[in-house]
Parts: sequence; C-alpha cells; structure tokens
Amino acid sequence: MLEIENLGKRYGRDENERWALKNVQLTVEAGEFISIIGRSGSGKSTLLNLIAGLLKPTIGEIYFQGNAILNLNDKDASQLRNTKIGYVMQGYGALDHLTVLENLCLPFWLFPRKGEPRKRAEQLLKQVGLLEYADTYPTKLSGGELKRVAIARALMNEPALLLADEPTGDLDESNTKNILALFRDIADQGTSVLMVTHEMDALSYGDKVYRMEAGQLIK
Amino acid sequence: MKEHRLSPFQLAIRNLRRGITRTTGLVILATLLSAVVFGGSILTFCLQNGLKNMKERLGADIMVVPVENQSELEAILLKGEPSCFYFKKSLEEKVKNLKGVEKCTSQFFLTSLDAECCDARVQLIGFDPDTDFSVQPWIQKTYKERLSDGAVIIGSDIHLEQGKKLKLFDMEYDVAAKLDKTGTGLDQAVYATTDTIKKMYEAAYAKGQRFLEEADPDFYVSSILIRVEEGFDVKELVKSIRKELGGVQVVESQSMITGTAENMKQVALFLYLFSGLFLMTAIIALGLAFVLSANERKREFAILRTLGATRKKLAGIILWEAGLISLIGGIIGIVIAAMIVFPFHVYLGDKLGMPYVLPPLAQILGTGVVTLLVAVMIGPLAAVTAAIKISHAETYLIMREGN
Amino acid sequence: MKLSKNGILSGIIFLVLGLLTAIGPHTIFAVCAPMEKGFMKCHWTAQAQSGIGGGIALLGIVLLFLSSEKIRIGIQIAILTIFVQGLLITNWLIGVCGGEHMKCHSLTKPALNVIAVAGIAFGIVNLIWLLRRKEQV
Repeated sequence: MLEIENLGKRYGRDENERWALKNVQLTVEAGEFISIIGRSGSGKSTLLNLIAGLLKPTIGEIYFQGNAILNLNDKDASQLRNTKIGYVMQGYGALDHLTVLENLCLPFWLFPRKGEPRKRAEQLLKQVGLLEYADTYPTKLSGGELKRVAIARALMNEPALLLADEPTGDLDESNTKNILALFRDIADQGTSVLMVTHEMDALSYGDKVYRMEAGQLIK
Repeated sequence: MKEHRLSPFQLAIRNLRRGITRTTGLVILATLLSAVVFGGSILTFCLQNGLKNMKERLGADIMVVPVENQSELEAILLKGEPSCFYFKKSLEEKVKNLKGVEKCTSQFFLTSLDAECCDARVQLIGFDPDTDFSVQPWIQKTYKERLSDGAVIIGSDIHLEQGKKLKLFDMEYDVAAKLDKTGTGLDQAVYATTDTIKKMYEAAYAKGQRFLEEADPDFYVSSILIRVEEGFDVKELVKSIRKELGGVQVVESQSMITGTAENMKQVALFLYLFSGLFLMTAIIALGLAFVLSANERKREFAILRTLGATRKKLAGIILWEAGLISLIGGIIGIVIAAMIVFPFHVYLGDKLGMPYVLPPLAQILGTGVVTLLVAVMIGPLAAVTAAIKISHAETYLIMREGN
Repeated sequence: MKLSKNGILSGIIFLVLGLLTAIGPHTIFAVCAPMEKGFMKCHWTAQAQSGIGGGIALLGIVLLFLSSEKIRIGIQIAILTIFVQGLLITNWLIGVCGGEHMKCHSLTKPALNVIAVAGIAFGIVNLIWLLRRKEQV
C-alpha cells in the first residue's frame, strides 16, 4: 500500500550539508502496524512529514496505493492527506475555539463532500471513550484525552494509512497502553498504522519494528 | 448537540468571535474609514449641488447695491441673514439705457419683525412683475399663475405650507406657493410684487416700524439686477455703471460664484486629503493587524494544513475574516455618518456658510453602495500579505517550533 | 454584589445617553434664547428632556448594579418607552421653533432625535440578546 524508494532529505549545502534522511526503503502493507523507534533528531518525524506531503524530499520516490505522490500539486496532495492519510501529530493539535465534536468534523468539511459527519464523529468518540465530551472545549481535557481526540480526528475520513508522531509522548503508563491498544485495534480493522516513537513498549503491539539511526532506516 | 458546517466562512466567523477584542478594534477602524468616506462624499456633493443651484438661481449677471452694502447682499444670498438698504430708484432708469444692458429690474427689501410669523426675522423681497427676470423664472417652476396683489411666495425654508396665511406687520397674506430648495439664503426669503411690498411697508410704517431711512418703495430700491447682452463684455458694462452712477457697489455674480466655488474647492480638497490619508492609514493598520494575528495563529493554520487544507483554503479563511470585518465596519460606518450628515444638514450648511443642498436620493444610495464596496475591498486588500504568508508557511517547521 | 458585563456596558451607555439628553439642550446643542415675548416652544422641550434624560440616566445607573437578567429586561423595556416619549416630545407633543435655520431646529432637534434613535436601537438589540440568553439557560 505504501512503498518508499531510496528516500533522502538534505538540508544546507556544501560544508553545511546535513542528510536528515538517507536511502530510506520501506513497504507498508494494508492493515500492518509498523513502529519506528529512534532517538530524538534521528529523522523519524522527517520521514512522516515526507509521507504526509508536508515536506519535499531531495531524492527518492513514494508510492501510495500504486501512485507516485511526490509531484502532486497542492490541491491533490492536500486531498490525499485529507482522505487517505490520517496524521496524529506531535503535541496535541486540537483547535481550542472548536468543541471536541467540531474538531473531529473539521477534516470532513475541508473538501466538498455530501453528507453529515456527526454520526461518524460520535461513533469515533465512542470508540475512543470520549462521547460525553463531544460539546466540551479542548482546554478542559487532559493530555491523554486530547491525544485520543487527535487520533479520532485522524480517522474521521476513513484513511487507508494512519501516521502517528510520538503519540504517547507526555502520557503516563496507563494512557500509553490504551493508545497503543487502540492503534492495534485500528490496524486489525484494516487501516495501516505507521507510528514513530521512542517508547520501547510499542515493540509488543506492532507487526514490524524498524530503527532510525542518523537518518537511515534499519530493520 | 449543535450542527455545524465548518466552511472557511464559518471558521472565519468562529475566529472573529474568539478574538472579540481584536475583532472589535479592527471593526472600529473599518467603521471610521467608511464613515469618513461616506460622510465626506455627501458633504462634497451637497456643496457641489449648492453651487450649481446658486449659479442657476442668481439669474442676474450684475447686481447694483448701495456702496457700503455688498457684504449685506452676500449675507442675504449665502446665509439668509435678513437686511435692508436703499438707494434712489432713478438710478434704475440710468442703468437701463447703458450699452450692453439686455434686461434690467429692481428689487425692494424689507425685513419682518422678530418672531412675528416664523419665529425669526425673514427677508422680504419685492419684485416688479413687469420687468423681473430673476425671481419669476424660479417661481414659474412651482407656480404658473401671475402673483396677485396681497399674495406672497415663500422660500423652501419658511415653515408654512401653500394655502396657509403669512402674518406680517399685523396683516395676513396668502401663501400662493413655496419654492424649491436652492441651498442659498434665498430659501429663507418671502417674495411679493412691489405693490404688495408697498402695502407691507405702509402697514409697517403705521405700526411704527422704521427701516433705517425713510425708504419709500415709490422712490427707493434696494438693488438693481442686470442681464448683460450676449457677447458684451461684462467688465466693460461694470465700468460704465460705476462711471454713470457713482456711489454704488457693483457686484458681478460670476465673481461671487467663483469666490464661493473657490471656498468650496478648499473644503473639498481638505475632505479628499483627509479621506485619502485615512484610507492609507487604515490599510496599513489593518494589514499590520492581520500579519500579527497570522503570526500568532501559525500553529492553528499548520494543524489545518495537516488535516488537508489547501494553501488556497488557508488564505481564504484570512480573507473571509478581513472581508467580514470590513463589511460590518462598513455598514456601521455608513449608518453613523448618515446619522450626522442628514439630520444635521441644515446646521452644517449654515456653519460652512456656503450654498448647501442634499443630493437626490439616487445619488445618496449610489454613494452608500460605492462606500460599502470600497470598505469591503479594503479589508481583504490589507490582508493579502498575511494570507500569502500563512498559506506559504512551512507546516513542518511550525509544528516543530511548538514542540 | 456580582456585576455582569452586559449590565455594566448597557448601564454606561444609557447613563451617557441619558445625560446627553438631559443636559445637551441646555449646553452643547442649546435651544434658542428667550425672546422679548418670553420663552419659545423649544425652551419647554429642553425642560421636558431634562426629565426624560434624567430618568434614563438613573435607570442606567440601576442597570450597572443589577445581576438579575429578568429585572434588567424589565428596566430595558422601561428605558425604551422613555426614549420614545422623548421622541414624541421633540417632534410632536411640544416640538421646536418652525424656522429651519433656527438653532433649536437645525441642531437641538436632530441631536435629540439621533440620541433617542441610537438609544432605542441599542436597547432593542440588547433586549433581544438578553431574551435569547434567557431561552438558552
């Protein structure tokens, strides 16, 4: 479903040249849960942002469902990110002036669509155990709850691939376990999950584990 | 639970409500801008209309008055300040026979008593129906018949209706017609034939009212009005009149009009400069405010981008916000300006001391529409920099900043 | 005593408008001076507006200190009717001098009308807002 070939990202030139990613090869099948572990600054987030189309690589190609996606125009890349790829970003990522329910509905309204997103949003909130907070504003929620809101929002448009950048950062053990179990569930339901983390506990939840070291992906 | 669409427009409304203090400040700025543009435009149009009416109304090319009374004449014409002054009627015959005089007529002025008819003194102007060419064409627009003895025509600002009676010097006179507004001081005058004025004069005399000198309408007049022959040099005729008459003031209507036009230009120039400066300031201030706001909200826009918002959509949110602010401010500004220029238009005209007539309704509405369009465009125009900046921001870098 | 934002805002606005109505016709947009035969109509309008404006200002002060929305709604309605009375006095019940260029006609009357209309417009908007809030609660 996701195929990465020879991906590299360079910053700077000549003496200041630094390769954040080098020669990355990766394949993700449908319904697979893959964890990428590595230290801070090893290039994990850079990889996710390249896949999500928020960053352009220096060399290499990414194929999503058989199609090359790096040369898409802004509209197509945004639509891909909106419909096929869900992204749980680092930090909490909720808009404070919208309620939890509205935060979830937001991806639905970004591209012209028919229908009403509320039912799906409520279903997702139920799945993550936050239905009672639908009309609450994010400032009233805890870190763990906000993370679950972010995950639910990323699933709103039924993506084929879920990217998660440090989803358990800042969370306690109990919440961490809940989030990892949730990802396992999601993968079991057919959505591929690509998670970057420095959490060693993740090893037991995923199907495959990779290590990122100095911009290179090692299995 | 409430249903919500979250189009860029709805997001813009939410954003404006969230930062209500900032929004209020920007709306106030847009309000001031549209108030200045609308109010300034209406003021200018009123002055232009007034000048146009003044040109039409004056009728005569030259007016002859006693030597020391030119300022009183101007006060009557421009400010409606009643006055009376006299010189010998025989001078009219001398003027009639001068070369270059096409038409010649005289007028006789009186003033009413305080608070007798209309809460304030009014100018009474007697005209000769056989020779007059200045007042009658104006009267004809409203009253086609010949003015009978004992009847009067009133200016538009006299507070009495056609068919009612006007009380002057303890006598009542029929109001045959009310003239259209000219925006000049003549709106506050009462017109009658010299015969009627003579009766008024006798009635006033009987009441013990004296008008400066013992001015008898049979032997004295207040002004002589002259129309110059087509092609004849007005200045040449002015010279002849001065030479022939001596001891009189000769007033060229054109210089009075030019003088008023010059004054009007000064006011209009001031208004244009002020509006222009204000417009520039508003655009800069709005632009800065939007850039600063966009800077503060980088993370919010980065989240939207991550969720799949196109660059165009992000720019759209900012432009909608700017458009809404300028629309709301534009409407409020027009309403506020309207609450000043329309109810107070008589006061403004009096204060400016120039002919001042409200433009027709169609022109007012047109001005309102144009002002609103300008106001609505200014916001998005000012926000363009912010919109471009936010739509081209590197999402990845912004997300890293926050972590 | 818990003050509400809306109470403070509406209280101040009505206090200011009330004071302008009461004092304005005697000062910044004064009516005509008395003539030989005595006071003219506009003088009596100014006197009446002192009462009207004073009443509005007083109710404005009361609004400042009220937290109960129900009572504030009642007071708002009272203020609105007083403003309407003021309009009637200026334009119909007593009125001002007839001459268009007389100060009371060109300045005082429009000033009083504009203040009253502004007060009524604000009052209606605020009333609607208060009533909708009451429904939601």
